[in-house]
Amino acid sequence: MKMVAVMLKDLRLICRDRFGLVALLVVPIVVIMVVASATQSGDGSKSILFPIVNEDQGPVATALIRAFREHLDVREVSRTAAQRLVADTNDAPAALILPPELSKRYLAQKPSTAQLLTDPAQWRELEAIKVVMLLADRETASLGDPFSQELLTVREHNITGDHVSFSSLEQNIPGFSLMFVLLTLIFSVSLALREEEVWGTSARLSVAPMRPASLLGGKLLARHVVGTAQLLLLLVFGHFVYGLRLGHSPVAMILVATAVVASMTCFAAVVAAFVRTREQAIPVGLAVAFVLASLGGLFWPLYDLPKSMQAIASTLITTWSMSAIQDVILRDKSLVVVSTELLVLIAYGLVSFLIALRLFRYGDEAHS
Amino acid sequence: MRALSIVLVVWLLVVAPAQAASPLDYTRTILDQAHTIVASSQAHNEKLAALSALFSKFLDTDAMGRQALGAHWSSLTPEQQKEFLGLFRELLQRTYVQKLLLFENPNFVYAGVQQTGADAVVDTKIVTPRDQFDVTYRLQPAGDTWLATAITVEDVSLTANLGSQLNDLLSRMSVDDLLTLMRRKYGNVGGAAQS
Repeated sequence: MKMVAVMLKDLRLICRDRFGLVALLVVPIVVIMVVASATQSGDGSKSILFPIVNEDQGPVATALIRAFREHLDVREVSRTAAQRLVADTNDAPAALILPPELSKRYLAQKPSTAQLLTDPAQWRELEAIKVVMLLADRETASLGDPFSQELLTVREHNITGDHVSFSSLEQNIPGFSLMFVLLTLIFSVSLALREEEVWGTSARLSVAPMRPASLLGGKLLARHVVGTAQLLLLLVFGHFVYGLRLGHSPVAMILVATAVVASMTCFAAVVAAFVRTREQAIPVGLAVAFVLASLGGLFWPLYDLPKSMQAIASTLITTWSMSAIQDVILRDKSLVVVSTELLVLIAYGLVSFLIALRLFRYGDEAHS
Repeated sequence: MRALSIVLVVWLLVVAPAQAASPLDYTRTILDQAHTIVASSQAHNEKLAALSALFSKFLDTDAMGRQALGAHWSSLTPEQQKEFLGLFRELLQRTYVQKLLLFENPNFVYAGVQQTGADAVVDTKIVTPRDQFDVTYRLQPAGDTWLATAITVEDVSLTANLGSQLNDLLSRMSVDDLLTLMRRKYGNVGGAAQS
């Protein structure tokens, strides 16, 4: 009961700062909208400029250019202009030169070589172009070889839900929402506890007739309620504005969000225990939140990380949190199936709480 | 009126076949229809189907199939021969039609015709703004029309080219395996190949 009383008291204090509450949602929403606009243009590789020098002007070159136009921003230019776009202005990662007589040779079953002028510094765009060229090459080869055998055909079946494709938003919205929740929790727990010391509140509380666990637990519970609401509202915003899937079970989603924020709140208390002043809270909080978000797959998928970092990532709270959220909203997994992740998160929270309780000498600084 | 109808029918049955088109005219008629299909706004697959239907009455795929198999032809059982010819019809039509579809708006030019006995060789060109591509048809009379028994594109014979691929395959696999491969690639189209 004392823990609940502390929680309610802290919740009342938090709710007094209306602007702070609004900022908890507005700031992440602004960031999510910027990220969504930047990553969900819908153009994909179509925004990549691909100059083509058509020295053939025949039907094969025309057919190839038509095929490339479906995937890339193709521009027919002279050889000089192509070299300038790739080498001087770096507007294009590569340019293709289709040689004279390409169509004649193709129809006469004779091989031709097309030149690809590249700027390897634009490696990501270059990779996309090479994938498109590989597809075009495969289609052309099958035209020339009518007996080519399709020994392996891939047919896709989604066995983790009812959607076959997802956009980058499915990564970015939960990822950035979790990152902001973690950041908010680390700052709010650290700063709130330090402010209580400055105002002498902690000194008074330390002599109150209640156990430290109830005291710290009550304070963290208040932050937990706010954090859970923040996470759920951000996901719901993503659902209504960007069509983010939330899974089939609202109960599962709420429970997973509760477990995720509970573990993060307790973890924030451990970070707060190491922060001795308000000035330390900002750099330490930022560093912890960004490192955990980067390694935990909140900014980008885990496969983007080197193997060694993926091994480290598998031990982090953010990795388990993201995995649990994605399992429920994208893969429609039930609570039973995500129970392992939930247990790990709860264990993470409990251990963090015990460490925080041990490290956080409530009121000591006030006494000293 | 009734008498006029009878005269018209008799004319169609008796006189019209006697006025059989020349090999050049018949080739021109077929290629003009092909041009209309290729230049139309139909989807690629619709064009493919329309062209296949058009060339089914112009290409003597049975003769080409026998020619492509060469010495192997006699080693096939009658059932295998029948199935092979059905599948080869699909293969050849697609190979030829896909080449034709590379041209967005093919401009056919008729360079001339050489008559050698009953056969005729019609030289055509597909002219593009930058280039021209030679396509030669060897035709044989078939009633009041003509059937193409060989097509050469840029001096490469379609039949010889497919024949060399078939030869290569038959040096590595049995006739049954070849038919299975062809059935997998061409057997589902129209169902004719299975008959």
